[in-house]
Amino acid sequence: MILPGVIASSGGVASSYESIATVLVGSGGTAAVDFTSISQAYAHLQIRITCRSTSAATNDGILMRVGTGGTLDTTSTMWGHYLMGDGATATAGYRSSTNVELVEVTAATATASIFGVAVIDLLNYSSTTKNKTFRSLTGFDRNGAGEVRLMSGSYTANTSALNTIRFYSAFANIAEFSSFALYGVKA
Amino acid sequence: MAAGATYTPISSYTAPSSQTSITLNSFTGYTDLEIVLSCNAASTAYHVFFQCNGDTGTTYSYTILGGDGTTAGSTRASSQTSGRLTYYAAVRSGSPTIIRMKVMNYANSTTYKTILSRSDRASDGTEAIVNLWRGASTAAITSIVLQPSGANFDTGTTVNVFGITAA
Repeated sequence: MILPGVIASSGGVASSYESIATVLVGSGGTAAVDFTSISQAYAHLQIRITCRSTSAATNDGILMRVGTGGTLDTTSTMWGHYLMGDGATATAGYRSSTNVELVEVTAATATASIFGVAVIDLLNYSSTTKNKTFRSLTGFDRNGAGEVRLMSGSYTANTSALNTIRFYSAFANIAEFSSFALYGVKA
Repeated sequence: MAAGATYTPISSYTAPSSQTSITLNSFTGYTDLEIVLSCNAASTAYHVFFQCNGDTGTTYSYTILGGDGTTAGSTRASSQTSGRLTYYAAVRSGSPTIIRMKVMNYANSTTYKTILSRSDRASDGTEAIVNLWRGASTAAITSIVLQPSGANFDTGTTVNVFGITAA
């Protein structure tokens, strides 16, 4: 039923956006969240994240590595650029490392139950002819401080299809109640 | 491995006349919501805010990153009585302002709710906003009221709600 100014349910239809797998972090946290043996049946992947780190800080960057052929690549250089706002100024920067930072979340000294969030797109992940490009919208607000970021990253070690993704903190664990949901988008 | 299709259209609304608010209150059974607004204004510009579960307390805060065609900037506010969806991309007459809300993990009962959004108006600006709602508890979001400030949602404003279910 639709009332003036009120939207009600109208049911749903099938889409080309499919849930692949979800990791909900349990008690004690975890050192890493892995997606392995990712189906190659999609054109793009999207990962929707609600996350908090156990690092002894107010916030922490969650790092991502990827792999091909069933092996996580821990040595190749990945690039990342960001545009970030902290509530006072907008800044831009970049980093290159053996990982890419696409997720900014709250950490152990932030108010309890406040998590950071991110939506990451991995474009043409199943292509065997292209280097891989990622992008994310990520942020947290702690009622007194916050960050929101637009980020991009790349994996250029080879053009093989990605089938492995890892998320982890450089300083601590991923906290309990964090969730990582992997979706596939068909062309 | 895949759990099947999701990103389900839940509802679609087109304002038949000027509206002081638009209420979304029927979206149970999903993990995340994607809410897409195309906001029209008559003659007076306005900004778009929201409240969850009818909470009018000072439980909202937000951080904004945006640009107006000349400079990039960032601003924020704490302990507000509503969340904010536009700052650089005000709704004005002419081209609509497009807002896309990502209401993350809205149904869980263990975390405060954080909402990402992007707002764009080609002739004004573009922005990304992160909103936090700290209700009386970590309760699930069961309703969202979209509120213009400064004028009404004009005729033709549309709101489309999609639900995403994790495996």
